[in-house]
Amino acid sequence: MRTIYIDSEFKCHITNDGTMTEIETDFFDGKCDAFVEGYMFIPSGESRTRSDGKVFHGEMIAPWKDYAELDAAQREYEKQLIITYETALKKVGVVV
Amino acid sequence: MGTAYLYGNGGSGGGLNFKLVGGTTEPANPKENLIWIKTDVAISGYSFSEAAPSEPTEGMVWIKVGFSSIIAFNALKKNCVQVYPVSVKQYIDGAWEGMTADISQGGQWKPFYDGYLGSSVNNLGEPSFVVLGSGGNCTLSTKTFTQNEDGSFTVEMKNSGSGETSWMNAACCFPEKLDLKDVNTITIQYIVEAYRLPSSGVVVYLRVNESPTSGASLATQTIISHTTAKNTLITKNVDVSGVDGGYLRIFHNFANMAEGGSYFKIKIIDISPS
Repeated sequence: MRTIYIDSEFKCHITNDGTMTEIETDFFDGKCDAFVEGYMFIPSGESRTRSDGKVFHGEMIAPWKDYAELDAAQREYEKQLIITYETALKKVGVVV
Repeated sequence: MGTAYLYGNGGSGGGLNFKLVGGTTEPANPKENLIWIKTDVAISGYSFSEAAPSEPTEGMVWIKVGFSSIIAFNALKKNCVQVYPVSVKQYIDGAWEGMTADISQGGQWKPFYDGYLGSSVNNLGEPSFVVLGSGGNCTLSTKTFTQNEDGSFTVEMKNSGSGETSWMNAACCFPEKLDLKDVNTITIQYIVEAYRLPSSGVVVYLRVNESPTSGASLATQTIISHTTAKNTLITKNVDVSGVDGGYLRIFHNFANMAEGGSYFKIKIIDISPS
């Protein structure tokens, strides 16, 4: 479970600028900050009208950025995690 | 499986109420039920059928039909042969390829989509049920998928464990990938017939890959919560403007109820681009 914040357009943020709504969700477990901030989260009971007039009711979670871009950021994040873990393991003598 | 519904190798005439043309530019001033297929391969013939033609020739067009379609039309000028087109493929270099195609209806071009259109029964494939985790004495005792004659389908899942606090995730997983490249919205119409749920709900997930146990979820929409009205037609949208494609899952994080376990039964009327 992770705490994120949504702004007035239901876009997700990892920090609160003081105006946002706090949300607890497990949808973003393991996801990097850039991935989270490419998503929108519409809570249950609320709705968002897209610029073309389409209405979306919560609870809905969907990317507002191109998913390919978010996926690339997540893959880079995971690659760096692996490097971090391998470095730590080597320091304690574990051969990876 | 299935039989040829209509077969032809030309345009209109002969009492037909539609015409099929190919080309790289969408025709101007189309008549009602003009089907345009974006192709630079000559169309050698066509077939409206549920299953792919068994002996296709190069350039043949296969218009897959189902039990419902938002672009249904009467194929004949006088009598009635109602056609429910779903998607368009053309036989090119020994394989069926999904094609971009539009049909002119009511003064508008309406698109076909390779992958799905209208009733999901005909396009998403026969689903499987997967339990993703378990605890205590929880059991997925009911897991049924029923194709209904009207083109809808019904999914029912039940966790029969009781008296425990353990839980599990279970999903009804559809094998065909949705092509969402030119789609910004998926609309789901459904009727919830029964449920007994704790605070967790039932969601429709789009997943990156077919495996429900690995990979990322692209988008979700809650279709049943513990306050959802029963026996009422409900429409929900999913914003897929950032998504190119995905596998559909109906997913429930089952939590054990004090008695009798949790369950739901939902009739999906339609899943389609909108």
